[in-house]
Amino acid sequence: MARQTNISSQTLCVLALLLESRRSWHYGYAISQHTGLKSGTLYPILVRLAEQGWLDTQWSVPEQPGRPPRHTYRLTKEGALAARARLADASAVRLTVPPRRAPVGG
Amino acid sequence: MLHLLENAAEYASTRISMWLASRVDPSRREWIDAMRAELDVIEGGWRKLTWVIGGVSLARRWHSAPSRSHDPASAALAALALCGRVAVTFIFAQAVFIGIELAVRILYGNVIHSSGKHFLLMTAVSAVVVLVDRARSGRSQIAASGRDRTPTGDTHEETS
Repeated sequence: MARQTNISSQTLCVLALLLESRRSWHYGYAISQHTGLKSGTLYPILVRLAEQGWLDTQWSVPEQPGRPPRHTYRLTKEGALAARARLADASAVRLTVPPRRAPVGG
Repeated sequence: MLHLLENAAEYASTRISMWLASRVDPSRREWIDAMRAELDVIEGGWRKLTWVIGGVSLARRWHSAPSRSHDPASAALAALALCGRVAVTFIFAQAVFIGIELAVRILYGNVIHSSGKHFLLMTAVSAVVVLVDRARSGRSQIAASGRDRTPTGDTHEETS
């Protein structure tokens, strides 16, 4: 029986962002700004996704001469399918969690 | 003044990023280079420094084989961490001693003299305790790495 990995909320944030515009390439700093993740959290997630085959990576040609090439990322087909499934699972879990009761006598 | 600090932060970020690149395992070098390349588009020295500081934790995860004798920075960090642990253990031991002293005073009167006289003894005991603990943890780490060797050290996601 296949074992499913638990995905952290940070990873889900990254997946959601990459899934929004699946065909375009994303820069690391832009992902960090959109998700609010620090570099020390973001890069291990990107490495893991790339190793799972969910992420395509590529060094982009710099737009201006003299600038270093930048690493860019986008979801693979498999990654997009998995991301949709995981995000759906996560939202289902959120919906099934019962809402907290309001304090009585307040 | 602020401009100077910004420049200093930018300079520090460049130096730290170079240090990170030299420290990580070659198999992870691409990812550190990816992180470093982003520095070029980040505006402001402080933001650059924050970005690079995040990479320090990556360097810890992805560091290449330890080379204490050749890496003065990590040796200094290790020494600092050891001093910190000795200090924490000392404070804990001192607090316990003061507690015992107070209890004895309350129960039997002024039997034990001021704990200040035991400062050197306490420091020595704390240092021995920390060193023994460090040796034990080092031995268990070696045993664990022999049993289960993970290249990244990423334990973020667990299987269920």
